Amino acid sequence: MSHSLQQEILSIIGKTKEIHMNQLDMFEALSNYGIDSLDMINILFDIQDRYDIEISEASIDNKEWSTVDKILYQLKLRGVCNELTEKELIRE
Amino acid sequence: MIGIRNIGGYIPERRDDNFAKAHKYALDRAFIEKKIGIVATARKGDDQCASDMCKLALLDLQKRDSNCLDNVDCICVCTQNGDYQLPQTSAVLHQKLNLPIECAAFDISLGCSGYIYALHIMRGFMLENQFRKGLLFTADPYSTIISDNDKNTDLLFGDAATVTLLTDNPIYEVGKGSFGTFGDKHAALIKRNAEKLFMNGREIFNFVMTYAPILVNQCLANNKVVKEDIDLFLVHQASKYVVEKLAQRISVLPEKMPFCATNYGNTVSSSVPLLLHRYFEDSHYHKLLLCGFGVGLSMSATMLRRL
Repeated sequence: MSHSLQQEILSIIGKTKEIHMNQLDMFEALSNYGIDSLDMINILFDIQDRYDIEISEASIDNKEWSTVDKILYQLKLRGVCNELTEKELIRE
Repeated sequence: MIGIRNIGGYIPERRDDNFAKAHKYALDRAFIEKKIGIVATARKGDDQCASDMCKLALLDLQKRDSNCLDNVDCICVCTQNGDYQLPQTSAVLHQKLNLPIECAAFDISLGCSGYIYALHIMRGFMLENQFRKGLLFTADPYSTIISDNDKNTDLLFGDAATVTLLTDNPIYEVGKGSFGTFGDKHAALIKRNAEKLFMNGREIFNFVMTYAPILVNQCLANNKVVKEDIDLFLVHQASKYVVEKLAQRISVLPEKMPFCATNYGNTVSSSVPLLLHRYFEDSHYHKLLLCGFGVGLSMSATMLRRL
C-alpha cells in the first residue's frame, strides 16, 4: 500500500471532517464517521481535483468510494496508485 | 454612465418549514441547519404570478424612492417561470404598472446567473438608446416547478422578486463583467416539458467549485483589483454549504461572503439582488463582487463600485 497516497486521502477526508487518522478503519463506511452526503460530495470533488480523474455518478451510487480502502482501490484502477490496497495485501 | 440607483425586494410571507420535512427525507435537523442552511423556503400565494411578485418588489422600491416609476424608459424581467409561455412577463407587468407605450419591455431567460447578465444587457441597451431610467426585475417562482417529494430541490428553492433601478445618476457603478457557459452540462439542472425540475447536485457542486473561482479571479483582473480590495463577495445563495466551500476555495473570509438565505431559500435570479438589497444602504461597502451560477450551466460575475 502506498503510504503517502493513504496519507493524502486521509488528509482530504480530514479537511472536510475532523477525524484522527488512527480513528479511521480503512474498511468502515465513511458514513459511519458522520460523513454525510454533502461531505462526501466535497471529498470526492477534492479527489477528482487532486488526481485529475472523473468520478461517475453510477460508481458513487454503487458505493465504490464509500471506504478509504475502496477509494484507494478506485485510484489504483485509474492508475493513480500502482501498489496493492490493504485488502489485497491481506488477501496476499 | 448608467448604474444602480436603488433596489427593492419582495419575499412572500408564507413559508415551508424544512424541519417539518426532515422526517420525510430522513434528514436530521443539524444537516438542514448547518449544511443546507435553509430552514424555511418562501412560497408565493397560489394565485400569484411572477408579475405580481415583481409589482410587490416595486412597492418596496417605492418606499425607498417614491419617484422610481416616473419617466421609466425601459423594463426588463429576468425569469424562466413567467406568467405565460407567451407573451413576455414584462408586457404583463407593463400593463400592471400602467407604463406608457414608449416604455420598452423585454424578458431575459436565465436562472441563477441571470441578474448579472441582465445588469450588463440593460446597461448596454440603455446607453445605446440614450435612456436615463430603467427597471430590472427578477422573479422566478420555482415553487411551481419543484416536486414536493424531491429532497434535492424541495428544501432549497424559495420564491422572491427584486427590482433594480438603473439610472444615469447611480450610487453603484457597474464594472466589467465575466461570463461563462457550459452547455454540455445543461442537463444537470433541467425542467423537461411536463416534468418537474431535476437537479444533479453533485455535478453542479463540482462545476461551481471548479469554475467559479476562475471566473471570480478573471473578474477581479478585468476590473484591475485584487480580492483584498473587495468589501463583500455577494454570491448566489445556492446553499450554505456551497457558499462556505466557495469562500474556502477562493480564500475569502466567511464574513466577506455572507449566506443570508436561511429563512427564505435559494431564490434563483433574485438571490444576488436580494443580498445587494440587504447591504445597499450601508455606505461602508465600496467595492462589491457579484457572482451567479446555475441553470445552463451558466455563470457570471461583475464588480460594483460605490460612487
